[in-house]
Amino acid sequence: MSNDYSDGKAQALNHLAFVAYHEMRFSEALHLLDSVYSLTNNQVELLCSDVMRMKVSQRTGDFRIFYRAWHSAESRTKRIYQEMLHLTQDAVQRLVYATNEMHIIASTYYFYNRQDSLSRSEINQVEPIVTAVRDTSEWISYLYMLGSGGLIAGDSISVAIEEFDNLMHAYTVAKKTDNLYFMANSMQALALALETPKQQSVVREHRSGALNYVGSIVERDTSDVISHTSSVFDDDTPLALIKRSRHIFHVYGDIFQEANVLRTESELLFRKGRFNESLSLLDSALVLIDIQHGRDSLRVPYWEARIYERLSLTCSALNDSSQALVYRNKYLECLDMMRQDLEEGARADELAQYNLRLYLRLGLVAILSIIVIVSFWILFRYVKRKGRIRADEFIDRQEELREEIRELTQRLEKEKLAHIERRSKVSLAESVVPYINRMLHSNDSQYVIELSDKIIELNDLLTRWIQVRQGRLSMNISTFSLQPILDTLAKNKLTYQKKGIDFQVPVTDVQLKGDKVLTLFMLNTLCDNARKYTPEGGKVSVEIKETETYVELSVVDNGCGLSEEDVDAINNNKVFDAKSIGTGNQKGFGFGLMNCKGIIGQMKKLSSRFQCCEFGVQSKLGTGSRFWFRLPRVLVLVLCCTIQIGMYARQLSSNDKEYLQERRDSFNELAVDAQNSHRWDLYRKYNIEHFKVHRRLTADPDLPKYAARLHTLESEARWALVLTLLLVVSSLFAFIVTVRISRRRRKELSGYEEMIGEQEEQLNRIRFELDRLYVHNQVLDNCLSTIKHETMYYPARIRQMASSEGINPEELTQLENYYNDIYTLLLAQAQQQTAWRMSLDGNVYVELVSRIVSSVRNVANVQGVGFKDVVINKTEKDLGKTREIRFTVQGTDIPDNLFMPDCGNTDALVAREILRMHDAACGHPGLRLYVENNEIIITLWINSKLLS
Amino acid sequence: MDKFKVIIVEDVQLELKGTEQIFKSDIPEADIIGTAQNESELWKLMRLDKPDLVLLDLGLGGSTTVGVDICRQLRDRYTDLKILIFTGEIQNERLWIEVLSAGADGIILKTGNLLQRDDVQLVMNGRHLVFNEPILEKIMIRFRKSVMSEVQQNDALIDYDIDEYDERYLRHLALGYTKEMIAGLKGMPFGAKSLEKRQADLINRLFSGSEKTGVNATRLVTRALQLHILNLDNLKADLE
Repeated sequence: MSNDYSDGKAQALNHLAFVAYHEMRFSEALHLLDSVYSLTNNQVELLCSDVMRMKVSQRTGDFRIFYRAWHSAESRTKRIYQEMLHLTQDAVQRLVYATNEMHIIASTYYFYNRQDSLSRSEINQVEPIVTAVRDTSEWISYLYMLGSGGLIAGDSISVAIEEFDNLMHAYTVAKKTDNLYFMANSMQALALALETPKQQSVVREHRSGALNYVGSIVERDTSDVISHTSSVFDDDTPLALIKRSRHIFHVYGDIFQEANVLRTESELLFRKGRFNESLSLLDSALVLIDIQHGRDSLRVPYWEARIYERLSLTCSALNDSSQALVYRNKYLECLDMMRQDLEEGARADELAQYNLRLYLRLGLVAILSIIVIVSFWILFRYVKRKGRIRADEFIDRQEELREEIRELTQRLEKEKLAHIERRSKVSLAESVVPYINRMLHSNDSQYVIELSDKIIELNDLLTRWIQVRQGRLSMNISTFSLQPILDTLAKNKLTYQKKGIDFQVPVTDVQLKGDKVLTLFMLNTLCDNARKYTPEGGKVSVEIKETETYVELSVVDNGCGLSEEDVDAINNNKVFDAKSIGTGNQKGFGFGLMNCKGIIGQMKKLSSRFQCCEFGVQSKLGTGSRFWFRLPRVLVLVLCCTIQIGMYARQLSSNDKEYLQERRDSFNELAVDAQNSHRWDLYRKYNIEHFKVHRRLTADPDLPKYAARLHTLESEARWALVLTLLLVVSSLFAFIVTVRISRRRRKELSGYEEMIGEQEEQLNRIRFELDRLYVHNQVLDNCLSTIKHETMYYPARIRQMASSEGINPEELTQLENYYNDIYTLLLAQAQQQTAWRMSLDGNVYVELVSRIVSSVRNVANVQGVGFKDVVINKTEKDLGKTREIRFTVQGTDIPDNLFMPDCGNTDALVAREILRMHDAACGHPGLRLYVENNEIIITLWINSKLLS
Repeated sequence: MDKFKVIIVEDVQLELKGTEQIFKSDIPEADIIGTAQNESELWKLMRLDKPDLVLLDLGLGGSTTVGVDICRQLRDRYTDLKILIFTGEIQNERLWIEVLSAGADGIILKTGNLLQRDDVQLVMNGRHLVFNEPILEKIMIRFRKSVMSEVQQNDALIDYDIDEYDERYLRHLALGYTKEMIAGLKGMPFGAKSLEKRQADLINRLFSGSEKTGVNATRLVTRALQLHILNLDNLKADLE
């Protein structure tokens, strides 16, 4: 219970301070009280300590301390009273003691300052009954104060009586409780109250018994020292009382009171004209002052002043005017010591400094707060805005990506369907092959003619079908920079390095017009070719040559090179067999060059702008090759963009001050004059006036305010501290919040990032598929148109030859063989583009149905028969691993050969292609697709896995 | 060759004509008892008179694979019926296998020399797996490849000094065994440590000069596969 311990210790320290106070060791007392402050938090003890401090500082005349202690005590009292219910019995007792004591001291202070009304109001705040019950010493003190005069209002007689009563009461209580200190005090006061015959008679008239009792006090208390034996009150009784009082104080060891009593006694003797006795008593008092000086560095100016005043008067009465002047000066000196404004300047400075410090501190705190708040606000906003901006950016980007994905997905779907259509065309072209084969193996010219007719019919269909497409601009022509394409090519560097080939790609700002994807395709094809035919340690590079109209892109290698015939074949023949190109086992096997050549040829046909488009090769056996193609150049317009604290000041009217100084000095002179002329009454009057003026002059009206100010400053300082702490805590909080917010943001953002990453990947995948399909489709277009162009002539010629009379069978066979070779070659080129398995999705099946429906509709339209409706029935059968789906489409006038090429219905051919692709994909061969009695019957199997 | 009855299933009129001509000129023993352009016509004919041979086109109508299903049904119903496939599906190797599984006696592609008397005769003599030139060529290519692979493996084992333990080590490494697991195999007299050494040694042997750096187990196994030291078809763990 360290609390109890420290409380007890604090109480003990207060008691020790009380002892020191009585022994006039004020420095020590203050020191003890200081340690109470640092020791405990117990408000009651601190209050006692404050009160004690008031007592001490009142004696030493240090009004600064006095007021601060007073203020502190008052605010503490208020605070304690608010929490009084929590106090223990002892604490309440101490509290009552302390508050009463406080009022008594305050009252004493005013009393000495001759501010009677204030003194009175203070003493009235003491609670008599409570005090009487609780603490007799306080009670006596209270009674004594009331009895000592000046505090009771009313006519002089009743005042005198009441004062006498109080003193008597005080005495009796003190006597009853063996309180020697107050016994002595009240005896002294009674002596003064009954000093004059006039006073005595008033009391005798009203309180004769009591007066006699006073007389008997002296008698009964008579000891060896006092020889007075009278049992009734007489003229000597007051003196005897005082003597008795002095004796008690002497024994008690209270030099303060002893000196006071000596002074009172001397005053009494002085009034009786016994000046020498008076002087000797005062000398004894001087000795006591010296003793006090020996005990403590702090002096008691008021105490000393009164003794010096008496000394001065006594000396004056003994006509020792020089000594009287000395004492007078000492008296004035003492008064000066009590000047409240002594430290006024220093205090103002101190206060100012204190204020300044505080304001600085508060200002600093305020500035810091503002800085912290503003910076956090900025940080918040920054984090928030940045987060929001980034989130917005992400959302925008997501939206952009989503739209792009949507758009590209649509394009991909279209491209897929376009690819299926081209596959159908390839299938159509394939359907010619059996006829050619038959042709080769038939000797029947009639049959050959029939076959030729069939082939011509199919060729016509293919031609028509291709031409339908050509109405649209099939290439994606745009202006693009070459660099990204070169960058994509450069990604393959590793493949070249693996083979030990140095692959060089230039850096350029060239802009081209053409098809971006096909340009990449062509460059890639040429580079791949170069890589294949360049041995280890060789070099492949992409070179760019710019002219005014075109850009020539070449792929140069130092590989095996080509023979003159090969170069000629590539440059001049529309169709050449890659297998014959090259030497030894380095023969080609692909259609890359033909595809490139075909694409450039297609481009050339686009418009006059593309007239510059050429494809070519330069090569020499053993030294390497240069394959090149030209595309229109776009002039780059290079646009150079230019980026763009209230100071506590005390005002005292200087006029007032001068006036008061004059008055004080004149009163002093008057008092000294009266003293010198032994006119004691006058002296008394002037001296009191002097004292009052002096007090007014030296009074520091702002002292209480100052104390209050100091008090508030302290609390303000505390507030500043609290604010600072709050600031620190809130900064910490704000910091944590900011960190958490930013972390959450980051998390959110990383979520976005992830989503965007996924979307970008998806987009890249779509883009890749789209580009791949696009290239396939373009190449297929090219292949198909080549087939059409390059083989159209032969069946007609074969037919012509077969139908002519003088037929040379060898010539015919030769022609048929050549036709077969070129057809197979060109078809293989096309088939290469369809050799990959395309994944089928819902859109493809939707397309299937719509193609079937429109094929039926077309037939109906062509035949001019009213086409009402297409009825689709669907039945499903679960076969475990697969599901058999059979659907029929009913219509009118549906030809039995709808799905055969010779029907010429391209929609039906596309539908057939889709079904064949499905058939190949599902792993359950046996697809049925035929027309019977105006009903299309389709039976297909779907792998249960594919269904999901 | 005795006389026999044949039904030709062919949906393209002009081709049917050509086929009929071939029979007439080259295989006079054949009595074409009917021609069918689609499935239902075939079944009708089959009900009328049972032939000895059905010359079946795989693609009918819009379908290219319907023949497989027809073949299966024919085989189910008529066990001693000869079925010869005559198809234009010259690329679709898978379909060939499918139709052979469905009971076809042979496949003649509509390319090269088309339908030959010899082939028909073989089928009629009860031979299975009768193919014409293009298919036989393909079969040979595959067969050669497979044989060569074995030869290469043997050569590789000698060329790279691969002993029984090396081979087992590499094979089990390829199957995802750890060194500890391999060391624990029956008849494996080496500990994990020695296997480690063996691996380093193998890397030394299988890789040349600059390639040796940074070779891990995966790369080593891949190399072994490339060099035919390991054969994908025989990639099986030892019986324990």
